[in-house]
Amino acid sequence: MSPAAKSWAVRGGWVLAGLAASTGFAMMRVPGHFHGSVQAVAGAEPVTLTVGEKGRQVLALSIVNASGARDIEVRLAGSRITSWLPAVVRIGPRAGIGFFDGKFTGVPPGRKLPVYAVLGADQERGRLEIIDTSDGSLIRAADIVRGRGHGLHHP
Amino acid sequence: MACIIPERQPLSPFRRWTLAAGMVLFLSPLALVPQLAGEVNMCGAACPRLFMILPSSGVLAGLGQKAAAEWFGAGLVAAILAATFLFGRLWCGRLCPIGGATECVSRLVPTRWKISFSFLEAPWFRYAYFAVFVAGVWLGIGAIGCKLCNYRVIPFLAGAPFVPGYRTYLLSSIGLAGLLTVTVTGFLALGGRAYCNLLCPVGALDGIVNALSARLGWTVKTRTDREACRGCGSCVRSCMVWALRLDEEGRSVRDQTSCMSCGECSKVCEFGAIRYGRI
Repeated sequence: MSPAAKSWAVRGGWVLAGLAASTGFAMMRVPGHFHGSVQAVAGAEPVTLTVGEKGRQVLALSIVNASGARDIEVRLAGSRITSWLPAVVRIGPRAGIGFFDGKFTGVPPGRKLPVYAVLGADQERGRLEIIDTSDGSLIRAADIVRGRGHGLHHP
Repeated sequence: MACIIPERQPLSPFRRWTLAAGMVLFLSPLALVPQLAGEVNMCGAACPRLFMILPSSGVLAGLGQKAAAEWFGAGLVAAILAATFLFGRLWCGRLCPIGGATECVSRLVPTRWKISFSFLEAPWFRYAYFAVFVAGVWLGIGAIGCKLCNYRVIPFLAGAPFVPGYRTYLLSSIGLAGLLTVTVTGFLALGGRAYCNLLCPVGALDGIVNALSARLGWTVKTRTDREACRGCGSCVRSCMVWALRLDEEGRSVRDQTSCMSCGECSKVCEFGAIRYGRI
């Protein structure tokens, strides 16, 4: 094999390695993590979220505020709700969004709320409730059931 | 390609300050720039990556929707590419808080614990990876998306001491997988920039713009004067992204798709063969 041909063969090998790595990452399903999105539309039917069959499950949810509510609480019995909001040092035009103990305040319409919840290994199912805290009404619920939904990630 | 062990040298004072500024501006606890978009990290509207992914149907409409959803990240990438076209990869080499963080941490790790990725011919691997990142959903393979994303892991690490939500993610299986990826290809990588050079989609796009615009003599880039090069190889050993090699004549050759315009090579060249400027 000529040096030029050998060089192109090596490059082809690295292309295949890149394709293999990226395909592996794209197809990867990591058990114990579920990413989903819920449209918080007032009065809409409950949505069903299927998480992994076994073990502790971390739910990463994007809850889109499709209701008129400005203050929203997210509840899941037996689980602590966390979020990456608010900013540690709040600066900027949307600094008004607050979060404490599962309750968001000052949420603009259409805003995605990042929410994390953990379903324990011994929890068979759960019901996540999105509540308008101004009047305590239920905006929408999500039923979390065990199945083969683990490891999913967006988009 | 031979495995290159980069020579350990201190960061130039200017670069030290710009990398620190990048981390202060983009990472917790201040995260000043993401807060301009109403975000607190590089996710959501500030994500500079997801808008590149071709949707499975309605490509143009889908891309438009993604650009609208990640408007700040898309705008940031547009600004980065415009700056790269004119002045080289100043974002990647001097400001990026993500690559900057992995590089700075990697400098604290003893060399004997580090992994060299310089055996890899980076451009070929990078663009094959990038192709699946962009077209994986469209082709039905699946999405790389946020999985193993260093723009997620590093800001979440920076915010973890302050915000419980970051800790929940980092201690999940996908968070730990991302942390492992960033550790191996960042913190423990020689030069601290293997993730940037091999897996980062922003870097891949930036590299294309840098290489194409380097052909225009009036653009400002880090360039090697072959006539002045004595082939000592010190620039090759100083490069954190193994963008330099010695050719058959023993002269330094630069791969502009990998070069991050960090200027470390010009600092070590004793013959003034490397400079940042026009042709």
